[in-house]
Amino acid sequence: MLAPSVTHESPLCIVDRLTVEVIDGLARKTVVEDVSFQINKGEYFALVGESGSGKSVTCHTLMNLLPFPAATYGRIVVDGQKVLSLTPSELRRFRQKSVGMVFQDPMAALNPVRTIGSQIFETLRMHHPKAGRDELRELALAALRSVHIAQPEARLNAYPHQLSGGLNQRVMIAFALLGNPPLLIADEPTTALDMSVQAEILDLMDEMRAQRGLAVLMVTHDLGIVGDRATHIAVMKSGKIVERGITREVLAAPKQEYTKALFEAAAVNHELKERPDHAYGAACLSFDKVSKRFRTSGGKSKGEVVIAADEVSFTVKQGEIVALVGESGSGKTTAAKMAMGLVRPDSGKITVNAAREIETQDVGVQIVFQHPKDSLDPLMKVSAQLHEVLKVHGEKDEAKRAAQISATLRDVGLSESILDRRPSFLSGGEAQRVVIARALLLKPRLLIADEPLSAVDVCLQKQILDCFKALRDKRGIAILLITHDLRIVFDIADRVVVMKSGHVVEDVGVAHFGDEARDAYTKKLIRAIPGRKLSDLNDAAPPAGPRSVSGAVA
Amino acid sequence: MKLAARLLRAVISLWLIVTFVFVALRLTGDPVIAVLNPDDMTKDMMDSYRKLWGFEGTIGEQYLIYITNVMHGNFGKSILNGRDAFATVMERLPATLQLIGASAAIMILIGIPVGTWAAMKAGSKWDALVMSFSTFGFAIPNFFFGLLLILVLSVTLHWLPTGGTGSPLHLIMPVITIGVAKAAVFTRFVRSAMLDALKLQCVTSARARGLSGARVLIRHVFPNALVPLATILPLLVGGMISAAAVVEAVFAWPGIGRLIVESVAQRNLAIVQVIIMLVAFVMIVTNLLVDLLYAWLDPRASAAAAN
Repeated sequence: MLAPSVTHESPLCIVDRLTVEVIDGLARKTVVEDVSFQINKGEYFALVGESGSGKSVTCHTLMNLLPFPAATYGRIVVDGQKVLSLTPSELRRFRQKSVGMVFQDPMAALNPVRTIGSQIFETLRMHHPKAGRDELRELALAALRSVHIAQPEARLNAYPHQLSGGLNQRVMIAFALLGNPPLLIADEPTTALDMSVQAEILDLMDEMRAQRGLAVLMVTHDLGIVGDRATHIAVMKSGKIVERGITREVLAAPKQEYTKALFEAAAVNHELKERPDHAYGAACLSFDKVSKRFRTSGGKSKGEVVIAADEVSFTVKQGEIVALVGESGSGKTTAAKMAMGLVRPDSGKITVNAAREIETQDVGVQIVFQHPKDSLDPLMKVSAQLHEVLKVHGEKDEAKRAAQISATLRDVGLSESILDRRPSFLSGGEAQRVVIARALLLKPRLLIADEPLSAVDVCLQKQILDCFKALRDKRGIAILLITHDLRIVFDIADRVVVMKSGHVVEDVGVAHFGDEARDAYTKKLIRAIPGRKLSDLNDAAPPAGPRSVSGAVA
Repeated sequence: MKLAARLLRAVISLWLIVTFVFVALRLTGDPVIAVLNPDDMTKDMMDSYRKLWGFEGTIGEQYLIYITNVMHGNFGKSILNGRDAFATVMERLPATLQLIGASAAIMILIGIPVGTWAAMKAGSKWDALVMSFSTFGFAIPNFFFGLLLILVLSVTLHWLPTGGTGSPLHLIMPVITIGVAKAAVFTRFVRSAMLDALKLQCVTSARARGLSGARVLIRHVFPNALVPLATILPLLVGGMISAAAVVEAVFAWPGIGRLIVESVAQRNLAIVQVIIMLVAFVMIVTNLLVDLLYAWLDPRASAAAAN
């Protein structure tokens, strides 16, 4: 059933007809079904799919590390060992020597109440039981240096929360490689990181791979990340592998509709059209030299001043989508809060609808948050939550409310059948559209969307983006879209405002954003778009790294 | 927060409690009438008694005298025998400390292993069994459980003395009564803290590095579970003190718990005031220690305070 291998060595990792059932009391639910693939030494194998597709379960099963009770069927052989039938002590040895694992959120994957040093010594002592104190220290420093961590001595005494996400992920990679394993499993290793750091971590993994002949199993929902790096790719959907092969071939001619949809979601829109000026109306939101400083209130950094906004000026016109781009801490969320009237600026002027200065919250401005499920009340049905908004604002006639609600649902492309459901029965995309509908009920002229897509699956992102476009084109609503993902910017924004450390470093029409970015920081952001090389790949440039066809099964 | 600010806050809390208790005790009836029968006394005798014990004048005047005395370390005299109230309470304190200390040891020795075990077996028959026992343990009233023990171990089996003090044997039943009840509560707290800690990504990640099960438990799960447990510590200490009041009465244990029950009945106000002040002081110190402990257990706590 497996394709004959052209290499003479046996594969490093064989997964053969793996099925995983989650056991919940008496019920069993199949989350991985009949999955087979193999990874040879030095290969870069990407397992791609949206959340819930079973990719994470698959890679946890590879280390026999499932966090819930489950039944597994099939065969997994990694580094010559049958993983599913190892004794506990064999399993420990296997985890020490054969596989290293890197997780999504490095801050959570490191013990928050212990120093980096104590955790690294603990792991090293396992590998070098006879080593003395000084020797362990040298080994630890060498491990940190190998992943390019500056000042490794100081890091040993640091706690994870004192390091940045990128540094913590480097520490995790160092941890995973302490036992010199031939296989590194990376479960969404960049999803929780800032965009400009993502590329650095991926580059580091490439470097480790080249140095040590390491095989990598990359698990991701983002095809953009793997398009220019992975040698082999497998696409998972609902627990099954629906497509696999050599990355270049799969990218050039995806056979499944699902794979195509994933590609489209990950690809950068290169056909940027500048819309004519008359498409926009009057200024709807304008910031005029707005400044805001915060003073930290305690701890070591007590009294330090954080500049969230320094003479920030920009304008959003009716019918315009303006993308506010920047890393976390750049001040973009503070700007959104000031536009909502939730935070008052220290100086400067914010005007809404060209009329009055914002005093308090304005119903003409509505916001859509990052996590749709968190911004809906889990106990209330959708209809009750939507009616509540109108009731609070004085609409007493239930029939009128119902009519307005069904009209708004049509606008966001939802059917009325969702009205009777509670949020736990909504998909991520549906929930986010309910949140958008709730915001639209008050007929705002400006919609602020704070990272509206980062909690939504790639395939559903398109629906929401289309919904935003329709709102702009049909209803002339202005949208201030806060995001760190430049692919979204290229897809729907008319103008881009880039913020860094409270300053606006770029404010330009999107058509001129990509080609001649003037600011150094903007250039760095654009370089860091993971999907940037996808088009090059489609032009049949061979991917880097060792090539073999054994991972691909026809 | 600076230590000085914390201490100031502690002093203010203490002052508020002292004032509240002073006022509340005097508003709930004339203490002189509770001690002397007005039908048998002349007004002169009543007045001289008032003067003798400091119940003269308005409540405000009494309070001023009282607070001045307290600041000079004079906490008043016992109405029963005229002895210094503070010394009387201090005499009885060791017995209570012994009782609470031994009960806390039982609580920890049962609570941590059993709670951990239940968390690791969460959802199993064993977990359900532990939880049922725990519910039984904290649902049964202290005095009833104590009486039950006396009935079985003393009256029927003649193994242990029914009450009083003098040998380690006397300690067994009161300690079981408090210790088992508190262990029942503590086991639940440990179980839920361990369940949360077991779910942490860093625990999975420690397992993925091939650390042994015991090491993962002791060095990764425990340190994280201790953080929420530290915050309930004052709650447990407070619970123990109030349990001691009941249990000491049941077993005739000569501690401050029994003393306060008796003193309230006798309207021996000076003693009641000293004991409440002492308990308040213990609670405030416990809270201060827990704050410090918390910062030590969780290095993120001080960082979070900065934001």
